[in-house]
Amino acid sequence: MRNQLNICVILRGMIGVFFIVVSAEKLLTPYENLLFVIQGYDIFPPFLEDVAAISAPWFEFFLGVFLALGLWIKPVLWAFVAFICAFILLLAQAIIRQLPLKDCGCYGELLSLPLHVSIMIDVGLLLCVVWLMKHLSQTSSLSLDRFFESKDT
Amino acid sequence: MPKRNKQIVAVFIVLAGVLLIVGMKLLLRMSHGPEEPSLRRTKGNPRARIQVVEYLDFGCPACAVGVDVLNTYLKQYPQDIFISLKYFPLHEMTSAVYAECSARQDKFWNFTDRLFSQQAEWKKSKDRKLFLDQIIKDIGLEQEEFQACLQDESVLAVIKECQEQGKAKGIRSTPTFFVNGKMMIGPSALKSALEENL
Repeated sequence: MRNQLNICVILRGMIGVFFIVVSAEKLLTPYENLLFVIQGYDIFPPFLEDVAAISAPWFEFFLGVFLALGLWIKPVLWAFVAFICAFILLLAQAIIRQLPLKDCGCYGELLSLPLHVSIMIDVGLLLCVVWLMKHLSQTSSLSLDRFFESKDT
Repeated sequence: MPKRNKQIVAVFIVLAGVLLIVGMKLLLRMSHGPEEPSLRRTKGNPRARIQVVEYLDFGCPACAVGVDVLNTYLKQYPQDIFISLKYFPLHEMTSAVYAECSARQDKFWNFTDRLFSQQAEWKKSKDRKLFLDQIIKDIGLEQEEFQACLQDESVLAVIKECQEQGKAKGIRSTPTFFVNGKMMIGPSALKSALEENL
């Protein structure tokens, strides 16, 4: 239960900030840009495309904020796993169906990567998140969760 | 009690995050400069209930489809649609410069319609500039005036201004349309919006 900087905390911060930056870029530009990308995946009905284009960046943003600050770490990490797995499946079906997508749209204007590179990044992210879950005690170091726990005891 | 505190902190973080993003969005929106539509690049009834602005790149095939869709609907509903085209060159500038110089001789639409109808040939041609020069000749532009226009710095300034306006609106790809102010990307989204509004 020591509260100190370690590799898990650094990784937690890096993933959190990465998600904040990537989602903020999407939130600050019109949602229609993301809508256009989602339409390119040709998998959701129009209503869900709209919902996904509006809600996904907010979801990413708050997951990033909560992870970086270390609040509700365990459920947030599970949400990350679900979110990244969903992305991997979305990208995989696009690759299998050979959809004419030049860019996955995951990183807004910040990064334009082909689908197979994005899927590798997502797999890497997923492994990192799973690793953080396995070392939850170290991951919770220097977090709001730990702060509230210490107040409790 | 600590669990309750944790919930309060979580709610506070969510509210702060929403306020931050919404505030930044409002600031970005306020920083957009006023837009002055050039009447030379417009078509239709200026008082029409459907006002369409298209940001385009002359090399983009979907932009050609977009203009075609707009022309088709405008023919069917001449009193209901007003079209305004804006430059958003992504790959090359020459065609936009030629278009603006055509606009200055009131032949913007002749140039645009002709270039889009021959877009594939133009893109395949070995000398694209020569191809554009031929279009300029065919649509009957006054050559001396046109050559002087090509050297005019204000032409590039107009194109850059359109581009900056587009960037400020968050445009990333072409064609991007604004139908009565609502942004949409791609010709199929445009078609749906026109059908919805007509």
